[in-house]
Amino acid sequence: MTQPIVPSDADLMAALERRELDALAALYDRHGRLAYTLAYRILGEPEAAEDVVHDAYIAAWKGVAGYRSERGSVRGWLMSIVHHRSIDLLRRKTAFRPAPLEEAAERASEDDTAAQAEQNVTNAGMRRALEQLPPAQRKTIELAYFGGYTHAEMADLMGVPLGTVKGRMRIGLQKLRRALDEGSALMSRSDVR
Amino acid sequence: MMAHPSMDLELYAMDALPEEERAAIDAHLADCAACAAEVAGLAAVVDALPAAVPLREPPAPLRARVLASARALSAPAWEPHRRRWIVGGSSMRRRSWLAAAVLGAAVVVLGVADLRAIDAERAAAADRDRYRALAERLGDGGRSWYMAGMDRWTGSGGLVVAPRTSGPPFVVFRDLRALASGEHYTVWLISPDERWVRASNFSPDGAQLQLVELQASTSGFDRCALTVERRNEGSREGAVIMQSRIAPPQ
Repeated sequence: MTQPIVPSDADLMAALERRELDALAALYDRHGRLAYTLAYRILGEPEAAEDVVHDAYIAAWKGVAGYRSERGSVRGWLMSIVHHRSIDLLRRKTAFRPAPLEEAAERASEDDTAAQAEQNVTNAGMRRALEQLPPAQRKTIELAYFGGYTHAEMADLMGVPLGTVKGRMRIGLQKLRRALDEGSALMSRSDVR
Repeated sequence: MMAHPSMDLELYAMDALPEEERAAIDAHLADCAACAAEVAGLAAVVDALPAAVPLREPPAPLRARVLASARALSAPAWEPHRRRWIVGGSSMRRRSWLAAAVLGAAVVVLGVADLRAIDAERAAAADRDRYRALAERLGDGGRSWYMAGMDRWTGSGGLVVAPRTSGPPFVVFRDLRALASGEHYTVWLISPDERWVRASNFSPDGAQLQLVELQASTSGFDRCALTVERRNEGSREGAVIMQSRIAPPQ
Protein backbone atom coordinates (compact mmCIF):
# COMPACT_ATOMS: atom_id res chain seq x y z
CA MET A 1 0.00 0.00 0.00
CA THR A 2 1.39 3.41 -0.90
CA GLN A 3 1.95 5.89 1.87
CA PRO A 4 0.18 9.26 1.62
CA ILE A 5 2.51 12.06 0.57
CA VAL A 6 3.23 14.34 3.49
CA PRO A 7 3.88 17.90 2.35
CA SER A 8 7.17 19.39 3.46
CA ASP A 9 7.34 22.59 5.45
CA ALA A 10 8.48 24.31 2.25
CA ASP A 11 5.34 23.05 0.48
CA LEU A 12 3.22 24.36 3.31
CA MET A 13 4.90 27.76 3.20
CA ALA A 14 4.19 27.97 -0.53
CA ALA A 15 0.55 27.12 0.17
CA LEU A 16 0.52 29.70 2.94
CA GLU A 17 1.56 32.34 0.44
CA ARG A 18 -1.47 31.30 -1.62
CA ARG A 19 -3.57 31.99 1.50
CA GLU A 20 -4.55 28.35 1.98
CA LEU A 21 -5.88 27.90 5.49
CA ASP A 22 -5.26 24.16 5.35
CA ALA A 23 -1.54 24.91 5.19
CA LEU A 24 -1.73 27.01 8.32
CA ALA A 25 -3.63 24.20 10.02
CA ALA A 26 -0.96 21.71 8.97
CA LEU A 27 1.82 23.97 10.25
CA TYR A 28 -0.04 24.29 13.52
CA ASP A 29 -0.47 20.53 13.77
CA ARG A 30 3.21 20.03 13.04
CA HIS A 31 4.79 22.73 15.21
CA GLY A 32 2.04 24.01 17.49
CA ARG A 33 3.00 21.76 20.38
CA LEU A 34 6.59 22.94 20.34
CA ALA A 35 5.48 26.56 19.98
CA TYR A 36 3.19 26.26 22.98
CA THR A 37 5.86 24.40 24.95
CA LEU A 38 8.35 27.18 24.32
CA ALA A 39 5.94 29.99 25.16
CA TYR A 40 4.80 28.22 28.31
CA ARG A 41 8.38 27.52 29.37
CA ILE A 42 9.22 31.21 29.07
CA LEU A 43 6.03 32.71 30.46
CA GLY A 44 4.89 30.05 32.91
CA GLU A 45 1.24 30.95 32.34
CA PRO A 46 -1.07 28.94 30.09
CA GLU A 47 -3.22 31.86 29.02
CA ALA A 48 -0.27 34.06 28.13
CA ALA A 49 1.36 31.17 26.28
CA GLU A 50 -1.84 30.58 24.35
CA ASP A 51 -2.04 34.24 23.36
CA VAL A 52 1.58 34.29 22.21
CA VAL A 53 1.18 31.17 20.07
CA HIS A 54 -2.01 32.56 18.56
CA ASP A 55 -0.34 35.87 17.76
CA ALA A 56 2.77 34.15 16.41
CA TYR A 57 0.80 32.01 13.97
CA ILE A 58 -1.21 35.01 12.84
CA ALA A 59 2.05 36.92 12.38
CA ALA A 60 3.28 34.02 10.26
CA TRP A 61 0.03 34.04 8.27
CA LYS A 62 0.39 37.75 7.60
CA GLY A 63 4.16 37.79 7.20
CA VAL A 64 4.83 34.62 5.24
CA ALA A 65 6.53 36.68 2.54
CA GLY A 66 9.19 37.65 5.07
CA TYR A 67 10.40 34.07 5.49
CA ARG A 68 13.76 33.31 3.85
CA SER A 69 14.59 29.63 3.55
CA GLU A 70 18.31 30.39 3.27
CA ARG A 71 18.24 31.82 6.79
CA GLY A 72 16.88 28.71 8.46
CA SER A 73 14.11 26.19 8.75
CA VAL A 74 10.40 26.97 8.91
CA ARG A 75 10.34 25.49 12.39
CA GLY A 76 13.20 27.75 13.46
CA TRP A 77 11.43 30.75 11.96
CA LEU A 78 8.20 29.98 13.78
CA MET A 79 10.01 29.35 17.05
CA SER A 80 11.94 32.60 16.74
CA ILE A 81 8.63 34.47 16.39
CA VAL A 82 7.26 32.70 19.46
CA HIS A 83 10.50 33.30 21.35
CA HIS A 84 10.70 37.01 20.58
CA ARG A 85 7.07 37.60 21.45
CA SER A 86 7.37 35.63 24.68
CA ILE A 87 10.52 37.46 25.75
CA ASP A 88 8.98 40.83 24.86
CA LEU A 89 6.01 40.00 27.05
CA LEU A 90 8.25 38.75 29.82
CA ARG A 91 10.40 41.88 29.81
CA ARG A 92 7.33 44.06 30.13
CA LYS A 93 6.53 42.40 33.42
CA THR A 94 7.94 44.03 36.50
CA ALA A 95 8.92 40.84 38.28
CA PHE A 96 10.03 37.55 36.87
CA ARG A 97 11.16 34.30 38.37
CA PRO A 98 12.40 31.67 35.97
CA ALA A 99 9.99 28.77 35.85
CA PRO A 100 11.51 25.46 36.96
CA LEU A 101 12.22 22.91 34.30
CA GLU A 102 9.27 20.60 34.01
CA GLU A 103 9.45 16.87 34.27
CA ALA A 104 6.53 16.16 31.96
CA ALA A 105 7.06 13.13 29.82
CA GLU A 106 7.23 13.59 26.11
CA ARG A 107 4.29 12.10 24.29
CA ALA A 108 4.15 11.20 20.67
CA SER A 109 0.78 11.73 19.04
CA GLU A 110 -0.76 8.98 17.00
CA ASP A 111 -0.35 10.89 13.76
CA ASP A 112 3.37 11.40 14.18
CA THR A 113 5.08 11.18 10.86
CA ALA A 114 8.56 9.85 10.20
CA ALA A 115 9.77 13.46 10.22
CA GLN A 116 8.15 13.94 13.60
CA ALA A 117 9.74 10.78 14.91
CA GLU A 118 13.12 12.07 13.75
CA GLN A 119 12.37 15.35 15.44
CA ASN A 120 11.59 13.54 18.67
CA VAL A 121 15.01 11.92 18.54
CA THR A 122 16.59 15.34 18.04
CA ASN A 123 14.54 16.73 20.92
CA ALA A 124 15.71 14.00 23.25
CA GLY A 125 19.32 14.52 22.15
CA MET A 126 19.18 18.26 22.75
CA ARG A 127 17.61 17.75 26.15
CA ARG A 128 20.32 15.29 27.14
CA ALA A 129 23.04 17.60 25.87
CA LEU A 130 21.69 20.50 27.90
CA GLU A 131 21.34 18.34 31.00
CA GLN A 132 24.93 17.18 30.68
CA LEU A 133 26.34 20.70 30.73
CA PRO A 134 27.97 21.86 33.95
CA PRO A 135 25.28 23.64 36.02
CA ALA A 136 26.81 27.11 35.58
CA GLN A 137 26.89 26.83 31.77
CA ARG A 138 23.42 25.39 31.66
CA LYS A 139 22.05 28.12 33.90
CA THR A 140 23.66 30.81 31.76
CA ILE A 141 22.05 29.43 28.61
CA GLU A 142 18.66 28.99 30.28
CA LEU A 143 18.64 32.46 31.77
CA ALA A 144 19.44 34.00 28.41
CA TYR A 145 17.12 31.94 26.23
CA PHE A 146 14.19 31.14 28.49
CA GLY A 147 14.53 34.13 30.81
CA GLY A 148 15.42 36.87 28.33
CA TYR A 149 18.28 38.19 30.46
CA THR A 150 21.08 40.24 28.96
CA HIS A 151 24.69 39.42 29.76
CA ALA A 152 24.94 42.25 32.30
CA GLU A 153 21.76 41.13 34.05
CA MET A 154 23.05 37.56 34.20
CA ALA A 155 26.37 38.72 35.67
CA ASP A 156 24.48 40.65 38.29
CA LEU A 157 22.10 37.80 39.02
CA MET A 158 24.82 35.17 39.36
CA GLY A 159 27.33 37.50 41.03
CA VAL A 160 30.10 36.87 38.50
CA PRO A 161 32.10 39.14 36.18
CA LEU A 162 30.80 39.81 32.69
CA GLY A 163 33.71 37.90 31.19
CA THR A 164 32.67 34.80 33.11
CA VAL A 165 29.18 35.00 31.67
CA LYS A 166 30.62 35.31 28.17
CA GLY A 167 32.94 32.35 28.75
CA ARG A 168 30.20 30.13 30.13
CA MET A 169 27.90 31.00 27.28
CA ARG A 170 30.59 30.41 24.69
CA ILE A 171 31.70 27.02 26.01
CA GLY A 172 28.15 25.85 26.72
CA LEU A 173 26.83 26.71 23.28
CA GLN A 174 29.83 25.17 21.56
CA LYS A 175 29.22 21.92 23.43
CA LEU A 176 25.56 21.96 22.38
CA ARG A 177 26.64 22.62 18.83
CA ARG A 178 28.92 19.60 18.83
CA ALA A 179 26.16 17.46 20.33
CA LEU A 180 23.75 18.65 17.64
CA ASP A 181 26.28 17.95 14.88
CA GLU A 182 26.99 14.48 16.27
CA GLY A 183 23.27 13.78 16.50
CA SER A 184 22.77 14.79 12.89
CA ALA A 185 25.70 12.64 11.80
CA LEU A 186 24.31 9.70 13.74
CA MET A 187 20.94 10.19 12.09
CA SER A 188 22.59 10.28 8.65
CA ARG A 189 24.48 7.05 9.32
CA SER A 190 21.32 5.27 10.45
CA ASP A 191 19.59 6.48 7.29
CA VAL A 192 22.32 4.89 5.16
CA ARG A 193 21.97 1.49 6.79
CA MET B 1 35.59 47.46 10.71
CA MET B 2 35.65 46.41 14.37
CA ALA B 3 37.84 43.48 15.43
CA HIS B 4 36.18 40.05 15.27
CA PRO B 5 33.79 40.00 18.27
CA SER B 6 34.52 36.32 18.90
CA MET B 7 33.57 36.39 22.57
CA ASP B 8 30.25 38.04 21.88
CA LEU B 9 28.89 36.00 18.99
CA GLU B 10 27.24 33.45 21.28
CA LEU B 11 25.53 36.22 23.23
CA TYR B 12 24.50 37.80 19.94
CA ALA B 13 22.99 34.52 18.72
CA MET B 14 21.14 34.21 22.02
CA ASP B 15 19.84 37.77 21.77
CA ALA B 16 21.45 38.50 25.13
CA LEU B 17 23.24 41.71 24.17
CA PRO B 18 21.96 45.21 24.78
CA GLU B 19 20.74 47.01 21.67
CA GLU B 20 23.86 49.13 21.19
CA GLU B 21 26.26 46.16 21.21
CA ARG B 22 23.90 44.18 19.04
CA ALA B 23 23.83 46.94 16.43
CA ALA B 24 27.65 47.04 16.36
CA ILE B 25 27.80 43.30 15.66
CA ASP B 26 25.08 43.62 13.03
CA ALA B 27 27.28 46.11 11.23
CA HIS B 28 30.32 43.83 11.56
CA LEU B 29 28.45 40.80 10.21
CA ALA B 30 27.47 42.67 7.10
CA ASP B 31 31.17 42.81 6.14
CA CYS B 32 32.60 39.67 7.73
CA ALA B 33 31.70 36.37 6.12
CA ALA B 34 33.61 34.33 8.71
CA CYS B 35 31.70 35.78 11.66
CA ALA B 36 28.42 35.58 9.74
CA ALA B 37 29.02 31.88 9.12
CA GLU B 38 29.82 31.37 12.79
CA VAL B 39 26.57 33.10 13.80
CA ALA B 40 24.61 30.96 11.33
CA GLY B 41 26.02 27.83 12.98
CA LEU B 42 25.16 29.13 16.42
CA ALA B 43 21.68 30.08 15.27
CA ALA B 44 21.04 26.44 14.43
CA VAL B 45 21.87 25.55 18.02
CA VAL B 46 19.60 28.29 19.35
CA ASP B 47 16.82 27.08 17.05
CA ALA B 48 17.14 23.64 18.61
CA LEU B 49 16.90 24.88 22.20
CA PRO B 50 13.08 24.70 22.42
CA ALA B 51 13.50 20.97 21.87
CA ALA B 52 15.24 20.74 25.24
CA VAL B 53 11.93 21.31 27.01
CA PRO B 54 9.53 18.37 27.51
CA LEU B 55 6.61 18.86 25.16
CA ARG B 56 3.43 20.31 26.57
CA GLU B 57 0.07 19.89 24.86
CA PRO B 58 -1.59 23.20 23.91
CA PRO B 59 -5.27 23.69 24.82
CA ALA B 60 -7.41 22.00 22.17
CA PRO B 61 -9.42 25.14 21.26
CA LEU B 62 -6.26 27.08 20.38
CA ARG B 63 -6.12 25.54 16.92
CA ALA B 64 -9.64 26.71 16.09
CA ARG B 65 -8.84 30.14 17.47
CA VAL B 66 -5.78 30.51 15.25
CA LEU B 67 -7.69 29.39 12.17
CA ALA B 68 -10.67 31.61 12.97
CA SER B 69 -8.41 34.65 13.25
CA ALA B 70 -6.62 33.82 10.02
CA ARG B 71 -9.94 33.27 8.28
CA ALA B 72 -11.19 36.60 9.56
CA LEU B 73 -8.10 38.31 8.17
CA SER B 74 -8.71 36.68 4.82
CA ALA B 75 -12.39 37.56 4.60
CA PRO B 76 -13.24 39.59 1.52
CA ALA B 77 -13.46 43.30 2.14
CA TRP B 78 -16.87 44.81 1.58
CA GLU B 79 -17.34 48.19 -0.01
CA PRO B 80 -18.75 50.82 2.31
CA HIS B 81 -22.20 51.97 1.42
CA ARG B 82 -24.22 55.04 2.19
CA ARG B 83 -27.59 53.48 2.69
CA ARG B 84 -28.79 52.75 6.17
CA TRP B 85 -29.90 49.32 7.13
CA ILE B 86 -32.81 48.96 9.46
CA VAL B 87 -33.31 46.28 12.08
CA GLY B 88 -36.73 46.77 13.62
CA GLY B 89 -36.70 50.03 15.51
CA SER B 90 -32.90 50.31 15.49
CA SER B 91 -30.74 51.54 12.70
CA MET B 92 -27.07 50.99 12.14
CA ARG B 93 -24.58 52.42 9.71
CA ARG B 94 -23.47 49.89 7.15
CA ARG B 95 -19.84 50.48 7.98
CA SER B 96 -20.31 48.53 11.20
CA TRP B 97 -19.02 44.99 11.15
CA LEU B 98 -22.32 43.19 11.17
CA ALA B 99 -24.05 45.48 8.76
CA ALA B 100 -21.18 45.11 6.32
CA ALA B 101 -21.28 41.34 6.51
CA VAL B 102 -25.04 40.93 6.45
CA LEU B 103 -25.60 43.49 3.75
CA GLY B 104 -23.03 41.78 1.59
CA ALA B 105 -24.99 38.59 1.95
CA ALA B 106 -28.30 40.34 1.42
CA VAL B 107 -27.00 41.73 -1.82
CA VAL B 108 -26.00 38.25 -2.90
CA VAL B 109 -29.50 37.05 -2.09
CA LEU B 110 -31.10 39.81 -4.08
CA GLY B 111 -28.72 39.49 -6.97
CA VAL B 112 -27.66 43.12 -6.81
CA ALA B 113 -24.18 43.56 -8.18
CA ASP B 114 -23.06 46.85 -6.74
CA LEU B 115 -20.58 45.30 -4.33
CA ARG B 116 -17.17 43.86 -4.98
CA ALA B 117 -17.31 40.35 -6.38
CA ILE B 118 -16.97 37.64 -3.82
CA ASP B 119 -13.80 35.65 -3.90
CA ALA B 120 -14.42 32.08 -4.96
CA GLU B 121 -12.30 30.55 -2.24
CA ARG B 122 -13.99 27.92 -0.19
CA ALA B 123 -13.65 29.83 3.04
CA ALA B 124 -15.32 32.86 1.54
CA ALA B 125 -18.12 30.68 0.17
CA ALA B 126 -18.72 29.24 3.61
CA ASP B 127 -18.78 32.74 5.07
CA ARG B 128 -21.20 33.85 2.36
CA ASP B 129 -23.60 31.04 3.21
CA ARG B 130 -23.33 31.93 6.85
CA TYR B 131 -24.02 35.59 6.16
CA ARG B 132 -26.92 34.69 3.91
CA ALA B 133 -28.51 32.76 6.74
CA LEU B 134 -27.90 35.69 9.03
CA ALA B 135 -29.39 38.11 6.55
CA GLU B 136 -32.50 36.01 6.26
CA ARG B 137 -32.89 35.89 10.02
CA LEU B 138 -32.20 39.59 10.44
CA GLY B 139 -34.40 40.46 7.49
CA ASP B 140 -37.42 39.58 9.59
CA GLY B 141 -36.87 42.82 11.47
CA GLY B 142 -37.31 43.34 15.16
CA ARG B 143 -35.32 45.11 17.82
CA SER B 144 -31.63 44.79 18.50
CA TRP B 145 -29.06 45.77 21.09
CA TYR B 146 -25.29 45.59 20.94
CA MET B 147 -23.02 44.11 23.62
CA ALA B 148 -19.30 44.96 23.58
CA GLY B 149 -16.73 42.52 24.97
CA MET B 150 -14.72 43.51 28.03
CA ASP B 151 -11.25 42.69 29.31
CA ARG B 152 -9.82 39.74 27.36
CA TRP B 153 -12.89 39.89 25.13
CA THR B 154 -12.23 43.43 23.99
CA GLY B 155 -12.77 43.32 20.24
CA SER B 156 -15.54 40.72 20.49
CA GLY B 157 -19.19 41.65 20.50
CA GLY B 158 -22.73 40.42 20.17
CA LEU B 159 -25.93 41.75 18.67
CA VAL B 160 -29.01 40.66 20.62
CA VAL B 161 -32.02 40.43 18.32
CA ALA B 162 -35.67 40.06 19.29
CA PRO B 163 -37.46 39.25 15.99
CA ARG B 164 -40.51 41.29 15.14
CA THR B 165 -42.46 38.30 13.91
CA SER B 166 -42.15 34.68 14.94
CA GLY B 167 -39.11 32.79 16.13
CA PRO B 168 -36.97 32.89 19.22
CA PRO B 169 -34.63 35.74 20.05
CA PHE B 170 -31.00 35.21 19.10
CA VAL B 171 -27.58 36.75 19.42
CA VAL B 172 -25.08 37.17 16.59
CA PHE B 173 -21.62 37.06 18.15
CA ARG B 174 -18.47 38.10 16.41
CA ASP B 175 -14.86 37.12 17.06
CA LEU B 176 -15.54 35.01 20.12
CA ARG B 177 -12.41 33.64 21.74
CA ALA B 178 -11.87 29.91 21.95
CA LEU B 179 -12.24 28.50 25.45
CA ALA B 180 -10.33 26.03 27.56
CA SER B 181 -11.48 22.44 27.71
CA GLY B 182 -14.61 22.02 29.86
CA GLU B 183 -15.70 25.64 29.46
CA HIS B 184 -18.56 27.06 27.43
CA TYR B 185 -20.29 30.36 26.96
CA THR B 186 -23.65 31.08 28.59
CA VAL B 187 -26.08 33.81 27.55
CA TRP B 188 -28.14 35.18 30.44
CA LEU B 189 -31.31 37.24 30.47
CA ILE B 190 -31.61 39.35 33.58
CA SER B 191 -34.83 40.74 35.02
CA PRO B 192 -35.14 44.11 36.83
CA ASP B 193 -35.29 42.23 40.13
CA GLU B 194 -31.90 40.59 39.40
CA ARG B 195 -33.18 37.18 38.38
CA TRP B 196 -30.62 35.56 36.05
CA VAL B 197 -32.11 33.13 33.55
CA ARG B 198 -29.84 30.88 31.54
CA ALA B 199 -30.92 31.46 27.92
CA SER B 200 -28.30 29.39 26.08
CA ASN B 201 -25.12 27.38 26.60
CA PHE B 202 -22.85 27.09 23.60
CA SER B 203 -19.29 26.58 22.43
CA PRO B 204 -17.58 28.87 19.93
CA ASP B 205 -17.46 27.32 16.47
CA GLY B 206 -14.34 29.20 15.38
CA ALA B 207 -16.16 31.27 12.77
CA GLN B 208 -16.01 35.04 12.72
CA LEU B 209 -19.77 35.31 13.18
CA GLN B 210 -21.85 32.87 15.18
CA LEU B 211 -25.61 32.90 15.62
CA VAL B 212 -26.92 31.58 18.93
CA GLU B 213 -30.63 31.12 19.54
CA LEU B 214 -31.96 31.86 23.00
CA GLN B 215 -34.24 29.44 24.81
CA ALA B 216 -36.28 32.18 26.47
CA SER B 217 -38.16 35.27 25.33
CA THR B 218 -36.61 38.64 26.10
CA SER B 219 -39.96 39.80 27.42
CA GLY B 220 -39.74 40.67 31.10
CA PHE B 221 -35.96 41.12 31.04
CA ASP B 222 -34.04 44.37 30.85
CA ARG B 223 -30.47 43.10 30.44
CA CYS B 224 -28.57 40.43 28.53
CA ALA B 225 -25.10 39.17 29.48
CA LEU B 226 -22.50 36.64 28.40
CA THR B 227 -20.30 34.65 30.79
CA VAL B 228 -17.93 31.70 30.62
CA GLU B 229 -19.19 28.76 32.65
CA ARG B 230 -18.24 25.19 33.42
CA ARG B 231 -21.69 23.93 34.42
CA ASN B 232 -24.65 23.64 32.07
CA GLU B 233 -27.19 24.54 34.71
CA GLY B 234 -27.52 26.34 38.00
CA SER B 235 -26.67 29.89 38.93
CA ARG B 236 -23.98 32.02 37.34
CA GLU B 237 -20.39 31.41 38.39
CA GLY B 238 -18.35 33.12 35.67
CA ALA B 239 -17.55 36.81 35.37
CA VAL B 240 -19.56 38.90 32.91
CA ILE B 241 -17.57 39.41 29.72
CA MET B 242 -20.16 41.40 27.79
CA GLN B 243 -23.60 42.77 28.57
CA SER B 244 -26.19 45.21 27.35
CA ARG B 245 -29.42 46.77 28.46
CA ILE B 246 -32.31 45.48 26.40
CA ALA B 247 -35.85 46.80 26.12
CA PRO B 248 -37.59 47.26 29.44
CA PRO B 249 -40.59 45.00 30.02
CA GLN B 250 -43.61 45.96 27.93
